[in-house]
Order: sequence, then structure tokens, then C-alpha cells
Amino acid sequence: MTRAGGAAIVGIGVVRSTPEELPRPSAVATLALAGRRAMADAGIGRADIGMLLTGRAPAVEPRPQINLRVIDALKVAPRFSTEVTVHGAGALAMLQIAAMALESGSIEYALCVSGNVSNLWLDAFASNSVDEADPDFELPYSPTAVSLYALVANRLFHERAIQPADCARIAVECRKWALEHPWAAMRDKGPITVDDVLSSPLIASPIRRLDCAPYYPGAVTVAVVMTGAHRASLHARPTYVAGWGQQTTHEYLSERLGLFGLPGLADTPSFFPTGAAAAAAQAYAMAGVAPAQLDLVETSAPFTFLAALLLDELGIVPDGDVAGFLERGGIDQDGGLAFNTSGGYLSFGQSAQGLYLLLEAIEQLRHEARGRQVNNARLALVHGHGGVMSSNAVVILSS
Amino acid sequence: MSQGGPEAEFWAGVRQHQLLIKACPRCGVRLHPRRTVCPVCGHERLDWLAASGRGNVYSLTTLHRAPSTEMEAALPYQLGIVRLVEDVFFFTRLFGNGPEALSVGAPVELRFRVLELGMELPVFVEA
Repeated sequence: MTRAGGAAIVGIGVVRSTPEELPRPSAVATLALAGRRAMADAGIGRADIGMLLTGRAPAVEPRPQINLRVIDALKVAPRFSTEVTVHGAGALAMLQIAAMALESGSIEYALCVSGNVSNLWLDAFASNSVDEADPDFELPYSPTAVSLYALVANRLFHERAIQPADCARIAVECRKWALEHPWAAMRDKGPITVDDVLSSPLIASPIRRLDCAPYYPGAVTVAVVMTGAHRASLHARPTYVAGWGQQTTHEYLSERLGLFGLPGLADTPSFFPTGAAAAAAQAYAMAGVAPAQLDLVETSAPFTFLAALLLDELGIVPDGDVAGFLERGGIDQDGGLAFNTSGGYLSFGQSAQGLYLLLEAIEQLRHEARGRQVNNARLALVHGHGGVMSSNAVVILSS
Repeated sequence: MSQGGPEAEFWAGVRQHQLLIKACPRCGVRLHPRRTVCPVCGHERLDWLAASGRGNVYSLTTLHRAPSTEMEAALPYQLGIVRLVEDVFFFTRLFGNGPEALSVGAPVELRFRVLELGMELPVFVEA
């Protein structure tokens, strides 16, 4: 399952920042620390870093080109460096760019670092819809970030045989996983039921409070070191990047509907499919695997309906009957597909552009996910999305 | 609001109670007023066209949480995306005739109303 000429992750660095930690570290400081830890895990030095990529800068950092400040902090001199900015999908898009560069032979090691928007540094609730809505044609009508997603949810429920009660099962199962994760935001909140979700307050119909991801209380900053697959065996615990794909369809949500006549994106203007479908199809083809072979799936889904849509678009429910799949226990923690094993956005908490979904997959593939380890985990899919379903990226990993 | 671009002309139309869209004189496609070059055929000059103001609800939501304290008194309010008969989509505020919320597919028509934040905006009401 390791493609000839493919790439591998050979080092991980993680920094968890909590609101109690004083004095508060800067966003740049956490990126640099995670990067240095990843270099130590890989056993490489500064001179080895041929490429340094960062995800989109945390919103608290108004200066552009945060990658250059990480270079200052680490005292490295890469041959190629840039921010990768397709919203939250940029975190996984970094891995794709690094894989292409490694395959070209122009570099030997790439360091990819992604921080996040965090409530440590700003009020994410107040800033969010301003960042996500079109300033001229959407924002004057006073949307919230949740209301933009709610437009997609209502259209989904209108077009397909799936309803809020089906989606509520996803929140229930994600909570079960989170109860086993030492860092999860909802770790101490106890289990929830479908009725709990359906009786929680409406935020923007049909989305209720327990359909939504909480913001992570603090920040999880992750860095990875990548190298060519032919060099992976020089390192202790490689994770192979078997396939990847990406698609961006719009910036502002209402622009998605003006996308005429592109192959694969519906004959008439439609929210569906999102770019996740094309990203996943490319990743499966590149890895030479089918969805049924996956041992675990981590998705970037801040709302229950979006996780349900992704089960379809990522090819996990081939007949498209997501409601039936969920009813049959398709993602039940006990016996179903291992789905969002950290608790996911819904119960681990949303740490925005962080690579924490990738971190969870790597811990599972390294068999280091204590308390929530998926038996014989060897093949994982990680999905990242950003904007209001604007950009989607998929990476398939194998041990 | 953005500086430059077609937005100024669009909002001048709103002040005249017109909903302006773009039309490509070469391939005929109707486009959102944002467009400045035809994405379909590449023609570099687009014409302005007053929309009919008739359409259907593509999707909608009722907000129960407001983005700002100024909007709290307006809760619950409906936002949606309307598909005009010209096949152009507008993000907008929606108003039903009765207490019942509108639904996906409902026919709607254009009005101009001063909303809570003091701006007169194109909105759509149940037809």
C-alpha cells in the first residue's frame, strides 16, 4: 500500500496549551515548539529541513507570512516555504505539497506546522461569521456562522432521506469516544442520547446546540516531519502517506451555486457534492484502496449533518442510504466503523486549522491511542475542511 | 463593503429599488452582480440587467441566536438563498405571510426593506 515514490510521516510534535497556562504562549511560539518537537521525534537537525510549510496563520496573528517567523524561531533555511491557505483544509494540503516536493527529489525533509484559531487568544464566537460571510452580499443580512451551515443542512434534509434524528446518532457516538480521550473538551460531560440532541436548544434551524462542535478550550498545535518513502525505514515509526486529494469549490457559500458546468459538480447549481467527494476519489485511486478497507476515519465536521454528508461523499456508504447505515450501527463505537475516534469536532472540540485529526490517525496507526485504540489499525482516512464547505482535503495513511 | 468593483453600481440600483444582475452579451448567461468577466465564455464585458424579482427559496434557516446584540430583538428571523427565475442566486432575508416559516421551494418575490441595522436591502416575501 506504499506507493513507489510516495512520502511518509516520520516525526510528530504536539503542543497542547490550556487556558490555565500562564503566561500565555504566543501563537508563533507554539508553532515553533511543535516544529522542534517533530524534528526531535524524527531525529533530524536544522540542516535537514528542505521545506517549511505552515497552515493558515491563526487569526490572532495579523501579519502575513507566519511561516517566515517560524523560520526565524527555528533558525532553519528551507529551499521552499509558504503558508498553505485554503482555510482549515490547508493543514492537510500542506502534506500534499510536501509529498509532491519529496517525489520531485528536490528536498529530503519537509516540516509542516499548523496552529489554530483558539479561544486562548481571541473571542472566536464574536469574530466568526464576519470571517466566513461575503462582506457585500451576505454579511449585511446578519448571518451567524452556524446559520450559513444551516442553509446547507436544510437543503440536504430537503433532497435526501435523512433527518436530524439520524444525524443525532453521530453526536452520541462521538461523545462515547471523547469520554476515552484524556484531552477531549467533553471528556467529563458524560454520555448523551439522541433525545438529548433533539431537545437541545435550536441555534439556527435545523441545527441544535448538541449538533454543533464546541470550541476547544485551549489549543492543540501539531507539526509533522515528512520524507520520501524510500528513506522512511531509516526512522523508527513511519506512517505512509498512501494517497491524497483536494478540491476547493468556492470562498463564500452563495458562490457555490454559481459554479456552472464543471464536471463532477452536478448539472445544475447545487451545494452538493462538496469538494470532499472529488478529494476522496483521488486519494482512493492514488492509494489503490477501497473505502471498505479503512480501519478508521477522522472527519472535519463541526456539525452532525456534515458528518452524515461526509459518510456519503467519502464513499463509506456506497448506496447513499446514510440514515439506514447509521440505524444499523454503522459508526457505533461498539462494532461499527471507527469514526472520529478522538471524539471528533463534536466532542473533542474544534481546534480549527490544527492537525489534531491527523494526530489522532497517526496515534492509532502507531498503536499508541491508549484507552481508545482501534484493534489492528493499519489504514486510516483523514479529512479536513475549511470555509463553509469551501475547501476539502483528504489524506489516506497506512502503517 | 468592498472598495471599487461592481458593488457600488449594484447598491445604486438598490436605492432605485432595482435588483441588478449581470448578463453576458456573447453567451447569454445570467450572472451574479459580483461578476466582472464571464466565467463561462471569457467575454470581458458584462451588461447590467434588472432582475424580474421572482424566484423560489433554494434553502433557508431560522436564526435563534443573533450575531450581535443589535439583532437580538429581531429573533427569530429567517435567512435564505433565493434562486431567481433568471437562475441567479441571492443570499437574503425572508418574510412569510403568516406565523409559519417559509419552506424550501416556496415561491417568493422581491421587496426592499430597511432592516434592523438601518440599511435598506433587497429582501424576499412569500408570493
